[in-house]
Amino acid sequence: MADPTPIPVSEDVSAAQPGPGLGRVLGIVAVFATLVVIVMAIVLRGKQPRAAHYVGLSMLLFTVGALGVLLRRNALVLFMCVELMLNAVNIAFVAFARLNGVIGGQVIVLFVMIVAAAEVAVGLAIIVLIFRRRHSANVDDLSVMRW
Amino acid sequence: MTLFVLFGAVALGAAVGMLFQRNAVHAALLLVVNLLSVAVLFLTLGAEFLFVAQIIVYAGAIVILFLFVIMLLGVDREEVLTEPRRFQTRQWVLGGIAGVILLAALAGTLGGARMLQALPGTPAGFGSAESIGTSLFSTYLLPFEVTGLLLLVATIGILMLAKREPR
Amino acid sequence: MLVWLIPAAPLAGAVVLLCAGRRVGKAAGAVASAAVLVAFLAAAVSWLSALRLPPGSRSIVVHLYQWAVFGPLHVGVDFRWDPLAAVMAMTVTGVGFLIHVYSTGYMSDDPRYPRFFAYLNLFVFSMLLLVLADNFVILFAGWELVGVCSYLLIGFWFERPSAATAAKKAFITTRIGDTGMLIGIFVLFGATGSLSIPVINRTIAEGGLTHGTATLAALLLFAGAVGKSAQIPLYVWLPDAMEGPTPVSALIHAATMVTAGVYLVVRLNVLYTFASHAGTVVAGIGAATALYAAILAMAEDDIKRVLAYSTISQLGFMFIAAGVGAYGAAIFHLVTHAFFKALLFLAAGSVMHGLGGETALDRMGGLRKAMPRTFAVTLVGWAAITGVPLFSGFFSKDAIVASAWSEGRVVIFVVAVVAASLTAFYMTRMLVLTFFGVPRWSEGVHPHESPSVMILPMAVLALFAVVAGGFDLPEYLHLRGSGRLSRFLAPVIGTTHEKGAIGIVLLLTAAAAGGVLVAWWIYGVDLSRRQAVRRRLGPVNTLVRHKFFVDEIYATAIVAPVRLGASFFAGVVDRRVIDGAVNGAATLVARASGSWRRVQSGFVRNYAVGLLGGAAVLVAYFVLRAGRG
Repeated sequence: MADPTPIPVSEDVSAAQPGPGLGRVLGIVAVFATLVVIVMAIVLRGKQPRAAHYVGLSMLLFTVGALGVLLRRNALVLFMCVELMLNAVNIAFVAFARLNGVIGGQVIVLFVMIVAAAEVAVGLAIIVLIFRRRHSANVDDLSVMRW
Repeated sequence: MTLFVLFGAVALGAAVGMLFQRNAVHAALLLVVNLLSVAVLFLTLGAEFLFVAQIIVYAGAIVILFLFVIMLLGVDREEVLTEPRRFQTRQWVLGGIAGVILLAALAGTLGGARMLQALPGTPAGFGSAESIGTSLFSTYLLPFEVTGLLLLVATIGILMLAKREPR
Repeated sequence: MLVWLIPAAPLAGAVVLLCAGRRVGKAAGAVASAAVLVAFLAAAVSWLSALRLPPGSRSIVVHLYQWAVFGPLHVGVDFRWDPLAAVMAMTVTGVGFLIHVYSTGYMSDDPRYPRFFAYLNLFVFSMLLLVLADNFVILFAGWELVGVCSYLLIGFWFERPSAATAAKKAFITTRIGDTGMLIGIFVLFGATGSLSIPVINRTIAEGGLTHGTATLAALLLFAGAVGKSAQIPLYVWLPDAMEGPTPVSALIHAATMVTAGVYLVVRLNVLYTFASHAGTVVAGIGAATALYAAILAMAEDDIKRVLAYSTISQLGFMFIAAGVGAYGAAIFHLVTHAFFKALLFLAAGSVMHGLGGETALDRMGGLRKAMPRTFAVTLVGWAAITGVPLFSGFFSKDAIVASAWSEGRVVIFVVAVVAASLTAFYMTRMLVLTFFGVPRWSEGVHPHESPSVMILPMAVLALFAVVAGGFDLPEYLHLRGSGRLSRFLAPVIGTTHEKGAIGIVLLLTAAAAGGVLVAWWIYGVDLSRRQAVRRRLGPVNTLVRHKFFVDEIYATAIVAPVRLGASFFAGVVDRRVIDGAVNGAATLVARASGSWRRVQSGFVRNYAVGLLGGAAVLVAYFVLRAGRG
């Protein structure tokens, strides 16, 4: 783990490295998506998707979100990964609602959305406050409450 | 079926892309793609109201909020936009292990007979705004009211939190 | 009836003086003496009212309250008022009162004056508890309490290390005996199912106890008596107990506490008569102690220690009587001995007081003219203990020796006669060295007579030492009123027919006279003959002077190993093992928590890993369970 660093000084903007461009990213995503399409086609083999497939997709998305929470250090992106996880769960709920014919599954999804909205708002307010004081959005810097 | 395959792949791809994207704004945009794909998946499952709600609330409000905050904090600042790529190995290892275990565990649920059957048909109006609204105001009235209260509390809380100290 | 008042009065006195002693101040002596006087009067009144009843129904039980109930066992605070208890109670309170009065003069300069009288009252209470007890619980409570009071009073001047050591020695040595006694009580309880003395007596009379069990119990109980009454081998504490103030020696170590052992045997006469072998052991030890202590007294140079060994010897005589079944004679000698031994101790105290605290016989002499009244009372006491005809000791000692002869215990009879002769010798020696001859006083000592508050009690005791013989005149003299005490005690101890003869009386008197004459010859004129005798006896003299090295033997054989064991347990076991375990547990917890606290790293992502891992494990568990079920 990173050692607690002092508040980072803002560096010269011209030296900023914005990382790979958006176009490149979209390209990589497209390639990856194509691969996934191929895999899914094989899995489905012309049949309609079953509940298992939806839930499986939900699981994969959830795991990706969880990994994102573990691996990303920017607080905002971390939050976005949490939203990703919530969405994955929503897919599962809707799938089960369809499977069992119960509208309650979809109602729960609605509630999840509402709560997620409230949670994001409050969380972002806190992040803003933290950023005001520490001038850093790196979660590794927030390690004051330790032994 | 094609809808599922297509949009499922896009959703998965956008998620993975978000995982590796260093730029926060790009990550937000990929999240939007993901949310929209999920909305379409809702539609394929017969949840029309949720399809619309997802687009309006999630993609249209929450991610916008994210982008607002990113811009508020200064989109030109490196600390906000990017992340250093140091000391990640342990996290990768631990995360990888945890992720594998999680996936394996969850996969155990997929074998059931009912899960592999064809999805049953739905009565007309299943997932429509009318049906959801009816259950919201009958069976789920209490949670509905409580979420109203929740939103109120959240609003007040945010106001208190974000108030600037008077100098 | 007033029986409850008898122990209550001194108890009240003790409580008052312990709590408010400092405020009472100089009046403490009067308060304490008054308390004991009240007890004596209550005892006397109870005795008189018991006399009005026919002899068979003079036993009453006073049940104060139920103390504890353990299933079928009911333990109550029960007092028994019967002839034996009456005799003991009146002796204790009567002599005790006189000694209290004496102490007001003797201890008048002591800074802890009120506390002394608090302890004295507490002692009288404890002794009364002991003699009035109707069950073993109360008896043992009183037994232990007198031991505690003895400890407190021997070590009253605790600034003196010798006094503190003597107090410890007394308590520990008697404790050894007490352990045996406690086991004896357990044996009796196990065999009869009761702790009540009359119930136990009834069980024995109905044949509910085997000979073996009875003998075992009797011997174990006698162990307690050996400790408390300073018989062989637990006598070593009594000479050292002379470190305490002289009134303490008079009351506790002459007249009352040390007689508790004799009382115990007499109270349990049913048991000891049934277990006759135990009785033989009692008489044997009594005889051996009587002779042994008399030998040691012959070479003592400290006035109080002579009297201490004399007490041990006379107690041996009492046990001879109790052992052969002559319980009446034992109690008779107990009472007369209380009078004349207390008198002798108080007189020794008067001598010490007049000489400024001197106790060595070598530095006394010629006090006859300087302290005439002390001399007079001492002479009476000397006559009593030596067995001068018509004094009290003459009759009581004769009763004992005669009973030994009539029970056919020839060896014990001979030993007793020899011991009586030696008694006469060492008492005459003490008398002569103290009051006769050329003064050998230290520098600057001006002996003066003691104040009346000290002389008067002694005079009263002297009077009783003379007339007490009349309590139990021997039957063969065919006088009117003979055997009064024996007849009075008969409901408790049974009737005994003493077959004494004039011949025994004459033999005893001759032996005593012989002892007196020899002592006068050696010590009377001047001390040159004493030196000659000492040289003649050479190594024997050294051996006796060193008390046969018994204390040293005990120290190396018993005390040292116990000390070693104790230091091992304290140093190794307690410090390393027990403390190590306790501290080790604490250290273990501290170290464990020290390493566990590092989990709180403060990094959110570490916590997230933990959450995710835990969630994964839980999901896996439920999936597997669902899969199997």
